[in-house]
Amino acid sequence: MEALLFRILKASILLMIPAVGELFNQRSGNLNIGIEGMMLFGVLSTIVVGDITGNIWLAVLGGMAAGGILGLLNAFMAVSLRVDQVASGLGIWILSLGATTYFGAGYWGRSPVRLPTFSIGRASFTPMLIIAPILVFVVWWVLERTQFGLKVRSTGEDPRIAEVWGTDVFRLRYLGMIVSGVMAGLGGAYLITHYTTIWAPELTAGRGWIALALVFFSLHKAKYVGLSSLFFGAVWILALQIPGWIGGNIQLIRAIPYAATVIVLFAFRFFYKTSEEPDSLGVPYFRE
Amino acid sequence: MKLKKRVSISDKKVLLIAIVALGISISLFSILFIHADVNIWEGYSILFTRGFGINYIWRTFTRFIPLFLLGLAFLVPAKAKLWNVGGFGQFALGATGAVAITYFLGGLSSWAIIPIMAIVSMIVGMAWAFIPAYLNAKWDVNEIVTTIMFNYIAIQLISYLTIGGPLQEPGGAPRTEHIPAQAYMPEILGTRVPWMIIIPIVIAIILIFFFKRTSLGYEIEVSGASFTSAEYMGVNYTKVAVLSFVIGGALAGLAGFSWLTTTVGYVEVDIIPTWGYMAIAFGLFSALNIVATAFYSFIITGILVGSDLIMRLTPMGSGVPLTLIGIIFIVTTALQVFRIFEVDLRG
Repeated sequence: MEALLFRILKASILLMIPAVGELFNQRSGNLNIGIEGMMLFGVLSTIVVGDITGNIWLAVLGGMAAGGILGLLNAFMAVSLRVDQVASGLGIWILSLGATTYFGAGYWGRSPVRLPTFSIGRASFTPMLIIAPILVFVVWWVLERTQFGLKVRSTGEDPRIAEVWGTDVFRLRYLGMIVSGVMAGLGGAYLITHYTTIWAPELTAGRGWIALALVFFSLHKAKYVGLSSLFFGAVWILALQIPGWIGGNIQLIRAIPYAATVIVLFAFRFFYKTSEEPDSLGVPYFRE
Repeated sequence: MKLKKRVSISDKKVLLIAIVALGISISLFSILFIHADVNIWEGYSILFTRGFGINYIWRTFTRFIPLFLLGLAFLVPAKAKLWNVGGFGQFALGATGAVAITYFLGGLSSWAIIPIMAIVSMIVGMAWAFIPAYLNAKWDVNEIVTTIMFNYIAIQLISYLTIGGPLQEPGGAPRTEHIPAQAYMPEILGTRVPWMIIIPIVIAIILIFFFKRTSLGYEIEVSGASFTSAEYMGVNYTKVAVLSFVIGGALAGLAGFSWLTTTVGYVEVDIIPTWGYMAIAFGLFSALNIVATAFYSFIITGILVGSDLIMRLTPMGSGVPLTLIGIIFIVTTALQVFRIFEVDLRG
């Protein structure tokens, strides 16, 4: 039972990090559809840097940097070029699927450096157990308690008005996309240095997409990201326990987290008719 | 850089942007060749001779069938501003459904079994598209996330069916049985191109007519162009959204059928192509123009066929096709700026 709880915590952290980054991004009005791809690149970059340097922290930084670079690319397309954000995100995702499979071929089955762990009782934890909630808290605090956060939120609601009040819309939206990318990269780094420590193509298995869904499920409020990540972490881990408890086909049971995402998104729309997502979400800002 | 929103754009300029985008993407492929120590000239020559050379073009034609159908599967809902990213799952389950029906009706002649398989694949594809469509139309549940989740669910479902499940072949390999010999798509005599090549072309012509002449087609386009005007016109949005999406699902399912009956003849999780994701690009970059989608489909199919051969003839490993499509995807998306805006690079 104890062990199960710890596994749920681990799985939640994995979703929490990219989700809270994307939440910050969406509050500034961007939609980052490429999270899954950025996580994948984060994973691969972590392995490569870890392999070269042998240093876990440089490896994690490498993962974050890879995500950040893709975030920057997405910001350039979405904010500067103002092309369709869904298209640019899908492009980044598809490129990542291909490129990480291709460039990761030499790392198949390899294990990179691991995050250091400390023990509580019989379970071992990584520093991420503390860092992830802190990140959520920081995003909440910045968004809800600082003037800077107010600017971010007003940019997401109506960039025209935000600009009248002296906000640099473009800079904030670039920042949002980069934060989202860096956090996706960090999620990928955590995935490969602690959660699943062996590289295989498409290692993220849709977790980036679930993190994206989590932002909506959290009503775009940072304070709910922790809870909703816990919920999804629990679904993910408990689903895998079902065959052991009551039997059932493992292949079908692996579909539960994905099905749960659909059900939860539906329930969210069903119970909260009025959505709190930013008004200009996904709409490029264009000064006439 | 200064941008000014375009009011309209000529077809010539759209074509020019597409050609420049393809040109830049294709020249970026050289990075991969250099990285893999493959002679650049050899790399490109494999890509183009195997993709478009006269001796090999039948392969591109054969693969054009599912890819163009998948492009249309994205295009129809996209006309209503809905993103069908679930082509992959609809395709995979469509193919699986077509195999499954041969378990019961395997004794029928070609004339009976092939159309039955095609219809089953379309029904399965429609069914798989229906839930995300309905959830979106009725409750505004984001269709991108749900269709992607449905792709993952589809894979698990097929794993269940083919690994120890009811569709697994007796030999024990993690796949279905082969379809009976008479269920493979016959080829046009002397060409190696399957007869089915006619189907997507006929469907494309029907769709052009559908959007130009029928009221439902018109309603779909209006809903996509302006939600408010659609409401004024009294368009039933739920109906339009669901119908456009399930038409897409049916086309993706049919694409699965065409893949199955023109190539391997069985379904195995690890060999299901990821064309459903690639085909999003065709509709997207042709500004949802059906003829342009056909051209895009053909050119990108040729590049795909060529890149498959690159994997076989050079040391370059798996992932090459998706990487190339990803590059095309990003470059073309970026260059859409020239379609949306008049760009003044000096300002």
